Amino acid sequence: MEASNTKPEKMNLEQRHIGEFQRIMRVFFRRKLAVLGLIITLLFIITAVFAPLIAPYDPYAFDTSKKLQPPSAGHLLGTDAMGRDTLSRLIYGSRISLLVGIISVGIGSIVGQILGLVAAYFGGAVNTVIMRLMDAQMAFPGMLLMIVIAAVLGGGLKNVIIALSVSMIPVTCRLICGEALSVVQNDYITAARSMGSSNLGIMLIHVYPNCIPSIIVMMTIMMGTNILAEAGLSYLGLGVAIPHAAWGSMVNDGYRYLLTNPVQALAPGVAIMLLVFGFNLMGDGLRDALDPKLRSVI
Amino acid sequence: MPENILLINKLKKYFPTTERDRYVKAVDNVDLALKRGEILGVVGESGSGKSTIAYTVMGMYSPTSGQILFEGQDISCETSRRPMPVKKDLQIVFQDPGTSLNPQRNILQILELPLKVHRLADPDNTIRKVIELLEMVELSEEYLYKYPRALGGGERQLVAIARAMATGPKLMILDEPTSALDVSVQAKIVNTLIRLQSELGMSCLFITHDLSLMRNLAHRVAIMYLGKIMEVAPTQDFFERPLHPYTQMLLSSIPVISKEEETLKPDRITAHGEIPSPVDIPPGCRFHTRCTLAKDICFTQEPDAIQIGPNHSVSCHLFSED
Repeated sequence: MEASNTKPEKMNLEQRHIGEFQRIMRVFFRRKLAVLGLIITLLFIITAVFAPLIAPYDPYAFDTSKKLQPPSAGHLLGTDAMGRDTLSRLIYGSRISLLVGIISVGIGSIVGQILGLVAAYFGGAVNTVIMRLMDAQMAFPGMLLMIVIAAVLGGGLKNVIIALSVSMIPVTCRLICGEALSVVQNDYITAARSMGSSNLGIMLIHVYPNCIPSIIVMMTIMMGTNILAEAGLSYLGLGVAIPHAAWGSMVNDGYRYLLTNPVQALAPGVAIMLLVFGFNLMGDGLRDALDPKLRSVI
Repeated sequence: MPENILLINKLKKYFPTTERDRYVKAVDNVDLALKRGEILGVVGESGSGKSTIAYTVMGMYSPTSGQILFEGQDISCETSRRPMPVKKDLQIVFQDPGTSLNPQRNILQILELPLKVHRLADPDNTIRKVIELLEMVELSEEYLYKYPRALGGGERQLVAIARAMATGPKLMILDEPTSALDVSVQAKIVNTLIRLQSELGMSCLFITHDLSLMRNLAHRVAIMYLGKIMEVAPTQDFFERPLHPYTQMLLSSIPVISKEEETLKPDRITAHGEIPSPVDIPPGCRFHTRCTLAKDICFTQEPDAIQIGPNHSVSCHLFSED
């Protein structure tokens, strides 16, 4: 009996999961703006991954005889003050932006999630200590904190990522803590505790999975925020070091020629805007799709 | 082996209020014994502290004072300090099946967790064990891969019961397991519980505010009022010969349809007044504010539990003359 039964049951399980997954997909893909956001983001990701194949020129090769050229057939977006091809630099710049976004959101949200979960689950003094620390950090304006960290550690990719991750921790921590606090109220947590499940087990099996929808939404929107912040830092010269093509520093290089050759500053500016826009639209769509309260509405 | 599987000794549970030195006396000096293989019903109005007893026994709170003995072992502490065998032998079913099952896990995952935690089944055997558990509560194996939200309230409560049964507990605490359900489903849950109890011989502490449910279910009934046990009696005695004025008041307030049923009820004592706040418990007998038979002594002195017959005790001055 058991041998013959295991197979159809396994299929059943998959079907059930696919059912839920399909429902989320359906809600998401019904929102045109969310799909637009997804397409924009995917285009940027593809560009970043295949940058060496797509870019027409070497983004670092300068040719002073061709500096500050307007857009032409040879250089679609013209060249910058050092004669480097702007389009190629823009394409390589997407690598920096996405890399910084993904890694900083990853590190920042993992630390924030652990702190938030622990604070919510253990409550009491643990909660107070963690949350007051987070409050203390939140009291500093985010951009200022990042500038301080970047200034102390110096510029460069690694330090920008550290600065962005740190600034993300309290936001994530608060969100997860709030979410987890409402999950911990449920009787299934009490049942698991009295049954003898370990604290770690309860957190991982019962509390965390019920927080995942809001984590996904938050991470998507934070991607946009962090990419924007990285561009800001690079613009201020605290970000990614000079030879690398970062959109923020490209805006900084180009704005001096805003009247004579506006494309140099506008092109990276538009790229930043589009990518952030893409992530935010996608985040909104995901929030609608993953919201359990909208489950019956579809 | 001690005769009583659960012995509650002068249990007190006070919760602090925002004011200093004022406490919500949810459970105030409760003595209760639960025999092996017995269903003991604890009945009381809202706010009488019956659920607090259940939660303290389960270790969600540690008692303010007093002792809880489970099979002779002192468990007057929170869950985290209890040994694993106690956690295995003591299980609870909650009132609301909507929040007692994790919405992210399917029934198989819900039911196999207690088996894994207590290592009660080999990995290859788990699924068969889970199917057995489902059969125990008369659910088919189709339910294995369903999620709680796809189930009705009654089915969810059956799953919750199956989860509590998974570890083969010796004592099951049922905290109003039927009050969140439709009447039609209640009967199924109650029948399942009666069947499981008689088949497996476990003991049950059944918390409810539904007196008529107790008539079919419990072996003994305890009436709670403002954190204290007013009367404990075997079920038949309890319904035929209620002694405490509060018990009589409760019994006469059960709505009935036929004349026949009306004659079974004690002389009608109309329920009046509300249960006082458990922060300011009236001095003397805590029921005197609503009692129609209150004497002078009731206003000043708290009555002790008086043994009237075998297993029948009552806390009332009306029975303390001799």
